[in-house]
Amino acid sequence: MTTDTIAAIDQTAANTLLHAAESALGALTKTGGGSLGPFTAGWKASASFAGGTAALEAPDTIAIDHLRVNYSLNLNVGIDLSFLDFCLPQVCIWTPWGTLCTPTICVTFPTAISVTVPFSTSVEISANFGIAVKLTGGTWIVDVVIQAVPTLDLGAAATLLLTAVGAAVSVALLAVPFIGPLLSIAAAVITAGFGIAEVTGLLGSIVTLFVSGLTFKVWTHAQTFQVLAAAPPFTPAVHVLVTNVAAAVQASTKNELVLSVDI
Amino acid sequence: MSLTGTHHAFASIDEHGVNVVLHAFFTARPRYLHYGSAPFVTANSTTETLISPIAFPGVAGGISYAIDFTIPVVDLYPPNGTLPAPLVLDPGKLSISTTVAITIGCAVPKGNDGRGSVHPVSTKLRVIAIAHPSGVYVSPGVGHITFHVDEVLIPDIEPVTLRAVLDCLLEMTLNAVLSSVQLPFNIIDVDFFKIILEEGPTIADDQIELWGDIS
Repeated sequence: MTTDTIAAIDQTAANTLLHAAESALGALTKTGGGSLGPFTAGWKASASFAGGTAALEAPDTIAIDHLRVNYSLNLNVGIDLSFLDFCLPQVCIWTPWGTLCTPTICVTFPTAISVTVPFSTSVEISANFGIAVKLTGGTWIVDVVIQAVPTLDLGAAATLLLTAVGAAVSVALLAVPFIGPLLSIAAAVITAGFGIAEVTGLLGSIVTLFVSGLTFKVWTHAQTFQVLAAAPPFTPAVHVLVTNVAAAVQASTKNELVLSVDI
Repeated sequence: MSLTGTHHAFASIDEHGVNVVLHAFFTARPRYLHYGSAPFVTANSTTETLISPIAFPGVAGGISYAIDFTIPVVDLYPPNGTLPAPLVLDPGKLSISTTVAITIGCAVPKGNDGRGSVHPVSTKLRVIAIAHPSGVYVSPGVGHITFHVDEVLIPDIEPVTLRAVLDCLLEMTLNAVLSSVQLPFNIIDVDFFKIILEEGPTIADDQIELWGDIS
């Protein structure tokens, strides 16, 4: 049995289609929390996808190289400065008029300083995508879906983020009363609390959330397909029913992404 | 051999798909199958199209008539069977089969009571036509395919001159019917892409094919 309609594109057109699907996906947002060394870190992040080069590989694989993941996040680091707390003990001095004693003076520092670090950058990924066809709620959908999360090269981004966090922490500490003489100590203790590995881990967990299960919709269509629109008063719309859809990468003299539709 | 060939995109609809669309079209819009003058049809509607009677001196109100087609069935090259001679389905062509009912209002002269009447006289004819597709490209993804009848045959009509008259009549009417039928590009490329038409429509392997680029 043959297919009623066939729409096929080669690799060049597939790239055009893919880039349109990337734009259509738009920006994704996620929120979460984690740890940054001994500190808590909450974040709100968004990511969008652009570029990349798609190669059609039979059977049914679309390999995308150098897909750019543009992401930005607002990282909120909670810092507990209680480690700086100290007390000046009571000191008594004998005088001809009696013994004079100073009170015990304790200085406590805030336990919940919130430091917000805005950060934006991008990372390129290369991964294989599969093809998935489904009928959901009366709509046919063809997705290309990432098969596995690729290795993320986040080293440079982590270095930038670490620097940004350090700068933001220093600025935040300047606003803490009585910290003046202890500023350098506090900054040193805090930045020693986490390093590039922790920042890389945090970034990796965030970016992975966007990349894992990454899906581009390359075709959606109502199961009831309007062939012609109505033109009142005597000309109703014309519809046909899409009964089956299949999508595949087919190899011949050149590889093609083929959409087969039965009506 | 790839589907896209030297182009970047390919779209096709096969014979079954074309017939599904034609069936949907004429089921939704039966007025394109049923034409008549009063009293057969009294007003335009979604089911019928009102036409004028044939004017003729001495026939009051003209000669009323109706033409009704069944939903045409298309056979894309290569043919599914043998066509009646002399019709031949060549590459790039399609055949269209339908049945037409031609009815005239036969006026009965006034009798003694002074009242005349009109009673329908009808004949049904099997019609086979050879046609070719034409593409109309407007902009990326926008355009349509229509069919133009090149030749009509009504088998088993004698004498030949009568057949020639009916052939010509039905070629004209069938072309008029088909001019309302449009296969929009988006039922062929199914909106997978917006085709920039570079080649086609052509008919081969029981399907109508388009080639081009996408936007």
